[in-house]
Amino acid sequence: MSTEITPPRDSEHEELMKAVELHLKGGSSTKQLLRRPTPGHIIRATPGTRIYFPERWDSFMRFTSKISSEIKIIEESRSKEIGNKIDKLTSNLESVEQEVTSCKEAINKLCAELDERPLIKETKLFDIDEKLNVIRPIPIVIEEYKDEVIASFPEIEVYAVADNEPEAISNLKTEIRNLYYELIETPKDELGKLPLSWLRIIERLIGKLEEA
Amino acid sequence: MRKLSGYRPTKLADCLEYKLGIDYGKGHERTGWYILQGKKILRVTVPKGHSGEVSPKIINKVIGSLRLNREEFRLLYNCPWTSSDYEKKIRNLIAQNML
Repeated sequence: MSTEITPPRDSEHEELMKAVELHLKGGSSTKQLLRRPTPGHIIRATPGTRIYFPERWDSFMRFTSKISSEIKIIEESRSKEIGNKIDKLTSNLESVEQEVTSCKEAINKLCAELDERPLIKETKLFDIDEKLNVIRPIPIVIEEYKDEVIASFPEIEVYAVADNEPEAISNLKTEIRNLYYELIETPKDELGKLPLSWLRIIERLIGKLEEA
Repeated sequence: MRKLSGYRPTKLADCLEYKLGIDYGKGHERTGWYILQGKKILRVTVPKGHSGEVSPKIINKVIGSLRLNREEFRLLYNCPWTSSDYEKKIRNLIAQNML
């Protein structure tokens, strides 16, 4: 069996060093590095023959071991980095979930508050009853809630509640009439400052109809 | 802010009647005067209501007509406040020319 020994070439060694360096910088994958052809200075013989140059071989083995450990360190640090990123993403996701939950709660609260808000409108009364003359239209406020309607004349602090608007207005007329009679039938020195102001207001709006 | 709920119409009317001496006249609603030193000072309306509780909107109106804040009203309704506590409050408002 003939054996051909090719002397190792320095350029091959340098080439390998460069490839490893490139790999360590992240420029190639482990597979790409290992797929490189075996350098001629290690084995360059016909099949079945093992010939190597001890000096180069030892240097190559040290180098390989260094590469393996470097690759291991890089892979460990990469997997740790990926793990950290996953942890960070998980925690971000949790905080997003919390924010979405609090947004949902806030929206529900707003919806409930909107439900509670009345539909408010202003209108005027032109009549109280057959015995009273409305001198000027009486400004009233109607607050329509989901379950009840409140009609009021805020300036004299009179209000009435009912299930619907017509009933609330009718009740308010009764309340205004009652207050009117209570005020005009009470001697003025028995009225406090506030009822006296109500009397002034109400007398500008309502008067008794003269009987024919 | 504490929600104004849990006020029963009968208990509310009784509370105002016994503590503040409000005499409800005849009418669709329970309406009466708060009288201090023989003068009608404030007029309060407590709706008879259909359900078990007075609605918060009505309670707000009652609180306003009594010239109280929510906490004072709670104290009045739940008993810690007596008629003289309320009288003191009203006298203060009169002294400040607000009533």
